[in-house]
Amino acid sequence: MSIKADPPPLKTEAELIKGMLAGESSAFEMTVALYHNRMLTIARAIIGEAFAEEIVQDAWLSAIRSLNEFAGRSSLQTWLIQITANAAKTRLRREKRQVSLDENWQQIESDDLFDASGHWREHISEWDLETPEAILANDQLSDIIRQTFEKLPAQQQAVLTLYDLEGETMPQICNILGISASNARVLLHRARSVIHQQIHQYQEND
Amino acid sequence: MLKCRDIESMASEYLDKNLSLRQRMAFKMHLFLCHNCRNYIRQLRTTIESIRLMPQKQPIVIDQHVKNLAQQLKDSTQK
Repeated sequence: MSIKADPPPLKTEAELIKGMLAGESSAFEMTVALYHNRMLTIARAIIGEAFAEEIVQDAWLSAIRSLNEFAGRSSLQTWLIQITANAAKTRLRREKRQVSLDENWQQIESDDLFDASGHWREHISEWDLETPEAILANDQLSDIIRQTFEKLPAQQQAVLTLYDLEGETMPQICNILGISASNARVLLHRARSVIHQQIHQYQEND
Repeated sequence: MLKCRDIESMASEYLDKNLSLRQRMAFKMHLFLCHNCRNYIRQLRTTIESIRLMPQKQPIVIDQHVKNLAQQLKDSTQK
């Protein structure tokens, strides 16, 4: 007889912190697995790919050192993101160089979409898969979305992550990334548009 | 009168409810008259909802890289 075990339940932030303070390896592993990629996204958006890993490594060490002082005023994730952002900004100032972030990225040219009078060049039809549930239930499409998300330029990915995935407010996002509100809005719309285009292409060709 | 091009560039602001009342009225007026833009807005809304649902579909991965970093962090507390 085979016994099918359920996966261990996801620990709460408080349990993870308690576990790390008690030196439990599993708590460290779960915390890194949950937040490392988010922290990398933020670091890349501020300082670029070259320094991101190093910044996040330092941010982790600094966070773990002061874990005792983490008072839980914010969520653990917000706290880790803030430490990462501060470390990246400090490094950026020290490097005294403008890190080029969004070069070589193919933007969707609006001339491709609209005619000279500002109307859509092509008829916009309804999608066959018209709910998010139906879209994500399609493995191919779900992979396309994930891959497109991962290939987004660093700043676009960071704004999209913070706004659409983490539910942060725009002022908070501008503060974390050190960008203006209008810039953040443009980055958010570009990121969503790129993913929209990929879903659209799939649905049109399928 | 807004053009389709304007609708596309203002679409996220509209869906995030960041337009002024006047802009929102003009936007809705265009949507009322333009079938293409109505479909586009519906598609973008579905795209945003799909992005927001995406993490729930992804498993948490504890690979060797995660284990190594976790071990390094754990060791750093014992110094």
